[in-house]
Amino acid sequence: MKTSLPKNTNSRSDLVLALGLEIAAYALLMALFLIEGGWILIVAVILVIAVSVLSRRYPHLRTRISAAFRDNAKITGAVGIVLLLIVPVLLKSSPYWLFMLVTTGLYIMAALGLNLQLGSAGMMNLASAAFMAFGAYTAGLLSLDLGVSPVITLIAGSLVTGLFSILLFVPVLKTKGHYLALVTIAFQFMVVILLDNLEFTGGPQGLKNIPPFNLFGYSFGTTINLGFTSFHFYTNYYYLMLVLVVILAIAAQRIYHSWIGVTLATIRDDEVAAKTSGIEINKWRLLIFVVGNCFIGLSGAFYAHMVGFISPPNFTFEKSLVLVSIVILGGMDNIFGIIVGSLLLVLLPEKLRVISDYRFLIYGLVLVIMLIFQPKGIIPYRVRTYGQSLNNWLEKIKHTTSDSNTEEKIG
Amino acid sequence: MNEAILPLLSTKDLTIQFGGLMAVDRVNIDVTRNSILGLIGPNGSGKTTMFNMMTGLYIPSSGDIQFDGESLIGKQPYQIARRGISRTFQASRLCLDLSVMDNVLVGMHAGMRQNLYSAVFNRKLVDEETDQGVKTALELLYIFNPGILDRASEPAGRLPQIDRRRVEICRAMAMNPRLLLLDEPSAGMTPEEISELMEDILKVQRASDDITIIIVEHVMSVIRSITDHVIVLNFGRKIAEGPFEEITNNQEVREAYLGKRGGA
Repeated sequence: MKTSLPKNTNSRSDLVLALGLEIAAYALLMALFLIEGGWILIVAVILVIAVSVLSRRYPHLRTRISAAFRDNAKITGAVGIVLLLIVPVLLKSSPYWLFMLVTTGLYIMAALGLNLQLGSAGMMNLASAAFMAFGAYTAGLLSLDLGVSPVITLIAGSLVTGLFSILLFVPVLKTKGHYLALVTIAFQFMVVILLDNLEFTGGPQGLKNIPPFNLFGYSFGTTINLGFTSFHFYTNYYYLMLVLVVILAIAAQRIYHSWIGVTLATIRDDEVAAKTSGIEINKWRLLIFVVGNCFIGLSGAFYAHMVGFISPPNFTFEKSLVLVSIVILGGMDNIFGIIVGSLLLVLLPEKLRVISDYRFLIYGLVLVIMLIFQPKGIIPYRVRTYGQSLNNWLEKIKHTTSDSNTEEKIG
Repeated sequence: MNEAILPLLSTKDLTIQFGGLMAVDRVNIDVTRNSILGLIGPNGSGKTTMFNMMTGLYIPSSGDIQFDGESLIGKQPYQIARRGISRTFQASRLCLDLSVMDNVLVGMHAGMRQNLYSAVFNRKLVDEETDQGVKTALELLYIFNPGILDRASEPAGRLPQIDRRRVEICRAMAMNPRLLLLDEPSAGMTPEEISELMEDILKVQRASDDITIIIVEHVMSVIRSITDHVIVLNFGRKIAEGPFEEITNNQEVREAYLGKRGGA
């Protein structure tokens, strides 16, 4: 009884710790949206840097926090879901920020795909905006010209992007390292130029009046009217975004926590070691390149339906750079890092509009400071754990061998 | 019956040229099954180049490599690895940011049943397979150094040099190879560590009932105590072959190699 008592209070304080941190992070994010003025931004940036540096300085603090979240996964998860679901209520009076939040979600989806390529397998892809364009234009053209239902165009946008990435993969296969980056940059520019000049993509005017997403006849472009109150139509997209981000994040997390993740990491860290361990490098690179681009394409298709109007300037090189920055700054091969990185890099410049003239100066400065303090990203790569399975076998092996050791000594 | 007599691996006039340099020049070797072959020679004599050709990393200019009755010419490194040749490297090629466990698991890649689809949609398969993989990896690590077991979740970069080498050998052994190529396993080790390492290599041989080892080594005590047969290379050519004692009495070998160390 006595031994279980301190453990109990400990787990309670862990729960308080986890919930406290969760709610604090959420409150900070909402404060960023709701409070006008620059000071809240400075507070937020300083807090993020401080937390990031502290967790590196005091690793036991980090393990305690992650253990607190893991042990209370059900409660923190449930609270997290509720907090995310009520966002549209809190942001009721500022649909602009709700829109920005959905946009952030689209960046998260694309960055999760890019992270599979760049973070997990070490393939630099600087054409992610071009692949987003494939998704967006596929969805746009299918619904405008053929009247295909948006549920299908969303999936088609993703798959067509995957197919086109096989095209790029042929030259990619022949190159590596910096050359691979150059090939993808060339591809990025080619795609934008083509979109600008092709007749059927609408040229510089792009595609207009792409119908909003709809599900079983319910159009996502309509305001949600509850009688006593109403919500902006972005609310629809917000919930759709949540569902898709959760699905993609779970898929990415599962890939990471499997032998596929280990295989990709080996290809990233040492190609020669991978080859001589029997890994068919090109097959895995192709697979992950295609899957990553499917994520990116889905994000593009979503964007087309939400905004209703796409044109080449939506998919320029700068967007590719932002996505790469998200992966590097957020944390390579770390899904949580990708989410934090997206929030920071997408929302920061919007918030900085207050000081419009120096906006990108400050933006760049923040990036440089971040990279100085956290060169491996805000939430750095973490070693895979094999938890229960590892512990079980460790016990068994130690047990059996301690028996045989004594036998040996007798013999 | 015939199989047992046939060498596991043999090269026929194996040659590779880098520009004007004959790195390996018409070398013929036969590797007897279940033996330990020492490959020695001064720096730049072509030992590692031989390994690189046997594992498909380099493509020979001419000649042939037969492994278990099949030519390896034109095969990709991963195909050769799957036929049962695995290796370690002179400069360790562990993924230092990955855990010890991850590094060993990679060695079992060829037998992996999961794919991208099952990684996402069939977690039962993933969990079962991972569980078995973890078990095999721990058993392998245990053979070498029970002390590594508790550090299996740590990044490989945190281990001392000798344990890193052991993990690399474990990764190679995880493939269940029939031929294991060890490229200067003692590099960067103290004399005490080297004698531990020799024990390790003999443990490898004992742990498997069908394994042949080729070892490239500069430390002669290692070659003397563990090899059955030695081949000496110099400037890309084979200059001598035989048991260690015989080799040390060979005049050409003394001049090329041991002569320089005559004082020792």
